[in-house]
Amino acid sequence: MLKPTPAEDLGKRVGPARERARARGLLGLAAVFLLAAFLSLSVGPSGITLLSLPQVLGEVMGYSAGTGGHEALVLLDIRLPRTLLAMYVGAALAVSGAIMQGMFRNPLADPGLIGVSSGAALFAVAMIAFGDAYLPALKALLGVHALPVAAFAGGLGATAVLVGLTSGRRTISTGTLLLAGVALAALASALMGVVAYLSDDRALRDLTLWTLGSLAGASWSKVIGTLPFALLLALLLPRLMRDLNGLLLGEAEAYHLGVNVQRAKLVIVFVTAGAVGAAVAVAGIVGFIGIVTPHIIRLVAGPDHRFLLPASALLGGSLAVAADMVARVAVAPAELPLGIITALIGAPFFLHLVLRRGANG
Amino acid sequence: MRFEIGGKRLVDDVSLAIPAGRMVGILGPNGAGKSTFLKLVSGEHKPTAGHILFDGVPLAQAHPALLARRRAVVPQSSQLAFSFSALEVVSLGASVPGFGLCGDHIHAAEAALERVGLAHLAGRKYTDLSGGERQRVHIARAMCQLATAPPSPGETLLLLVDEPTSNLDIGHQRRVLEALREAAAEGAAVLAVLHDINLAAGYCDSLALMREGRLIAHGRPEEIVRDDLLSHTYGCALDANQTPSRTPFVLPVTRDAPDGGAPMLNGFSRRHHTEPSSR
Repeated sequence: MLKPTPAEDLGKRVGPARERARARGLLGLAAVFLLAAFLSLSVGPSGITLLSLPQVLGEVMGYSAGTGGHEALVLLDIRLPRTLLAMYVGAALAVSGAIMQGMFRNPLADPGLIGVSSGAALFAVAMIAFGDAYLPALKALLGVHALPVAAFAGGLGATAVLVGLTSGRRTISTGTLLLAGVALAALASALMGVVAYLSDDRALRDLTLWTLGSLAGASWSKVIGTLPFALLLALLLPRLMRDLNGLLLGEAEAYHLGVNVQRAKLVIVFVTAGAVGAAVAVAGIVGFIGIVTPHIIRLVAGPDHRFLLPASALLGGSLAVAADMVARVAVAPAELPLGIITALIGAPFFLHLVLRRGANG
Repeated sequence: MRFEIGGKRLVDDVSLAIPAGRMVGILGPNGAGKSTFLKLVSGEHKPTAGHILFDGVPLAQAHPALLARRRAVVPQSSQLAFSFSALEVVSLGASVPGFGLCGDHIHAAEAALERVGLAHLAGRKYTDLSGGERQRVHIARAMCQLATAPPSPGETLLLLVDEPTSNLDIGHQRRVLEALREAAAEGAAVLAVLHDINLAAGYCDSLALMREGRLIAHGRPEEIVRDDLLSHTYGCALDANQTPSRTPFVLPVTRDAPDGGAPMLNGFSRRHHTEPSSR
């Protein structure tokens, strides 16, 4: 056996110090999250800047005399919902990515890469194109939630296929998972093409936004539409952290540790489909946040889900807000689709991961 | 108790008591139903007929999360897709449903690692550990799981271990079994599926011999490690003997050895001693 070295001795004492470091880490990430949101409110083509933001915010809340209401309106009706949605989309995708990676015991799972986002987008597009004609009662009943619910159903379908594929295996090979994802995504985008072909021009134009991802259409009704899914995710997160820690060791081991495995998997499937579905319903397919974020957190703090999930939510939200800011200013006054920004950053990162895994066998 | 899959009886009519503070070894040829039996006792499989009582309460009625406070399982092998440190793997034993979100389970994990003699590797990546060290990490994880919620009086802690020493050298085999003995010494009931008859005889309080899903015999090591019993169970000629310190052991009968025994053992007393071994 190897003799203890000072560095390994240190490992003995990492426990309590690590807990404190994690608490500090979460606080730091929360600060970054809020800072990103604050910056996002001050970026855009209209006159509000970082300097005038406090004044406009004061006006919105009724504390100070206004500048005529226009800026307050921009802030309240355009930038605030857009920032909130970016926060949600990033957090939901990052957490869903981390959860799926834990459940599939595969660090390359990502809602965008394994076809869940595509399934969600297909159903959302179908709801836009055919909802009024074929499901008017359902669409009226669901109101602002109609799109998220449709996307949720699509995400659920895609996830169910993947879970069926992986059920009972100790680990699923990256190849199988990604190939299944590629097939699902290809099928979904082909069907989206069919939907676009069958529908009128307006929905056809929307299709680009769906496949590239954008928050340009942000509104309060979309914020309200995603709210139930965000709340559900937040409520179930503590439960999921522990279940996923058990599942990391394998399904049998998770049972031995007291996890109700079947129920945990069911909850995971529904929660991630819901979270991703709602994100896709408001922003289209935004890729790579779900894979980049958990990887960064794991690199720094290890794979314990009790830290990984909340930290991924905060960092993912910050990344999406930052990416959306770039999307808004990079080619102003025009806008880049959000998914292009995240893919530009995320795809090389993903490639790096794949190559490194390949080198390690 | 009986267990069937697709009409095939994997475990048939087995009845076995595992007392607290004792270590029971299950022996038997491949496919005898040893691991299946372990899965029945862990609650992973439900028996087709019969029942399993844990402290007098049917296992089937126990809630998984509550069961996990009193029953831990060390699997034959475990794959981890992510790079946990040894200490983190051990603390996973305490970070599951029924336990707090945070708290001092890190101390329990450190103590468990200490007990299997791996405290110095706490910060080492699990994937960088040797097979024997990994096995001991999982034993520490199981111990940590059982240590997190101290049992109320009259409650037994149960440690189930599936072939903990396969692929290990003799030094690591000993360290693993000593760790299990220590768990038994502290009051846990330990049930271990083992392949090495001699190790099992040296470390277990009693041995259960299984063949084709049935319990052939159960008793103290010296009652089980017998030529006729083992030769019949494994279907090959085996020669049982005892060391000078009265620990029974067995060797395969090699070709044309005089009087059917292994020649190098001539100095040892032949035939079985019924006195308890002085382990």
